[in-house]
Amino acid sequence: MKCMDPIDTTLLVDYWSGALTEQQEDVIEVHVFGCEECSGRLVELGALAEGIRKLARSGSLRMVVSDVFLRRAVEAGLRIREYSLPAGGSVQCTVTEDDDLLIGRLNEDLSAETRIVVSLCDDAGVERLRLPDIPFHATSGSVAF
Amino acid sequence: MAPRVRLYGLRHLRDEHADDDLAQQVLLTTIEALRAGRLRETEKLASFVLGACRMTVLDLRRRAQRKQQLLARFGLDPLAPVQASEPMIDQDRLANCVQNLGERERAVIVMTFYDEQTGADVAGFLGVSEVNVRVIRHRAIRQLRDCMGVAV
Repeated sequence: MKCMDPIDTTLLVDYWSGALTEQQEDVIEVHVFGCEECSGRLVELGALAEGIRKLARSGSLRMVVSDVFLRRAVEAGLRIREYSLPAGGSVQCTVTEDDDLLIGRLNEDLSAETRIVVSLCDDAGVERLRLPDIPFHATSGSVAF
Repeated sequence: MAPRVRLYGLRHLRDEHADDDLAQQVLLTTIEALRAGRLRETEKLASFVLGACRMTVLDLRRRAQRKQQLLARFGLDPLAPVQASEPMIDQDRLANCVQNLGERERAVIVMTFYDEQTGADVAGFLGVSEVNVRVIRHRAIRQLRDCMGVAV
């Protein structure tokens, strides 16, 4: 049945991520339990969210991560191998089948930077992956990916 | 109604197995109420089921807390689940869709759904305003929706 007053997607995302007050959650839940269309949308949003959680847990995403991400991964029992790189330096990496996540951490004074591009190259120096304009916090002094 | 119960469970318990327990208990409670004639008006079914969900989640949380206390005390889990639920989504396709997002979009999506960080935390990490985080997140969800062909 077509919903005459569908819940805005942004509000559904806020609900799923726990960003609403208890009263706002109540309003959403009463609507969703009585509405086939909005409950169907929320089912698909929930599936997307769970899929993303599984991807993040499996370590299959190549991306810049926060320290909170790493803390949660440790709490979830994932084995993390992390290499720290000084500015202008290099490091020999080893990866074993027991590692769940491989983290590279670039240490640098970022306070004057406005844009960072991460370029991953093979042994011959050929670029294999480029992460343009990655998110970073200027005062953190490092970027983990 | 069962998918809505499972959805409620996943949202509030964040655990597929606890979600199974919730769905079973709520459906049994509802059938019992129907058979006992305590639920005659079908238009009240949704609110009855929602109420049953709320009560059962509170009960499951209490039991989970109790279980954690026992695990901490005895160090074993005789009730450990042996089989996960079927995946609801094509993970390979989703991996491609997520990888094709922009860096900021991907970071916001993962921080929202995996790290479960608030808009303020995400904004702090990215060095942008909370309003911008909402805009980036909305754009990312729209791109994922189009890429996955779902109706979020």
